[in-house]
Amino acid sequence: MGYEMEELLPVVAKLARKYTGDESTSITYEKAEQFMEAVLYCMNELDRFGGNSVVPGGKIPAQQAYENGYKAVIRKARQALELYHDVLHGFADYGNHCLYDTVIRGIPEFFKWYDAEFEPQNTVLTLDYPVLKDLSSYTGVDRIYEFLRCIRAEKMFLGRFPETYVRDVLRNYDCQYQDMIENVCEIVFGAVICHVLVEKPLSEQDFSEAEEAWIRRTLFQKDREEARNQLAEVTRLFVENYYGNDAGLLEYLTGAFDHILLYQPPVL
Amino acid sequence: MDHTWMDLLQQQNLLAEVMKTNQTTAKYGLVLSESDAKLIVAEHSHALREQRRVEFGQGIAGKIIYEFCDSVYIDQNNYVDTVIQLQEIFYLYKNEMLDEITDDELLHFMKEQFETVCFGDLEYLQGTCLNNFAQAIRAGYDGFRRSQGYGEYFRFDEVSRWDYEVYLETLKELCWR
Repeated sequence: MGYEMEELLPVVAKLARKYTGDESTSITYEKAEQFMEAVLYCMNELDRFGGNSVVPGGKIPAQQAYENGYKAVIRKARQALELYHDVLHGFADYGNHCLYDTVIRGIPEFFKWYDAEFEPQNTVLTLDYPVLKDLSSYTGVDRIYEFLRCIRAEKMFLGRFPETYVRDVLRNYDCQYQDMIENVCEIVFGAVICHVLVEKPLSEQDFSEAEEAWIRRTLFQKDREEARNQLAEVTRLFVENYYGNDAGLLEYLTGAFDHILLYQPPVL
Repeated sequence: MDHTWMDLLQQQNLLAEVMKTNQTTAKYGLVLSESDAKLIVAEHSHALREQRRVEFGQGIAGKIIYEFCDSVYIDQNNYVDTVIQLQEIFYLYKNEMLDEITDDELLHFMKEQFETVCFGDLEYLQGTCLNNFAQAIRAGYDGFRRSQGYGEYFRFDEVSRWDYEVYLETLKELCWR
């Protein structure tokens, strides 16, 4: 971004004047910090996604960079809304309250309350449903957008299975699965990957002793790196065969590896 | 977050702005020397820091001077001290009123009470009038938006004031009986 503080201050002051409607000459430290973060957020958005603040003759003025960044934030919010509509189409919560509350009840509140102008860095929601990707470096609409991408990947993965199968796996994992605050996709993926490892149809739920032993040897008795590599290869083949080699889904599912390698999949 | 950038945000031309008020206040017998103006500006910065506020536009000192310069309770002897105290009170109550009130509304309210209820007593203005008004605003009162801060205090006054109409009625009765 490369702007000096002296260049940013007039931008912050202008935003503060707009906020107070020119009817207050001062604001609290907290508000001033909020506006500075808002300006930086928009400028970063421009750098990351919306364009570049550096032009052939040098960099564009800070005010211009902020305004372009603000437009980029608005664009991102619109993209997030489109993505949300896409996610809602045929969305299933499998009876899990946390997933339902976060996606169906929570996300609309974000679009209702998000303030792209004066507080674009505010995510508004706590996003209680845990996804398989670390979103802690994202805030504001960026975080919501990334969260929705995760939910879309989960929907894509889970959508290939009958709802009754997903619910059976969840029930097997936790009889009170409706109230658990855990990732649904991760649990189902753990169960599915066991079937894939022994090449057993999903309709056959029970594993023989030999099959269980093979799964344990593969996932738990090798050193962690080797097990991870094997899991990655099996997942790659699985996504290639059943999900058209979707790179986004493959990357997303790798987020479940640690959980699978640390804890036994629910089918064992 | 480091607050040094907030100091940079403060306007640097406050001194000239305060000195310029002499053109208006001279007719009320109020004039600031350059050292007076410097003192006001220094105390202004101190008051802002004390109340954890940052100023980004025209300074409040000039607005306070223009609002209060015709007061019957301000003369050349107490002028500088009064302006300094009014600045402190102003920022204190911007915070106490949660920034719900605009600068002009607050100044109108302060001036009106200073003249009519407090008779120039800044302690009464701060500790009673503004305190009562701030409590009402924090509780959700917003009638000052329609009135611009004028004629508000009687709603929140806890003291029975001298009733001029009753006094005149009684005086008439006594004199003309």
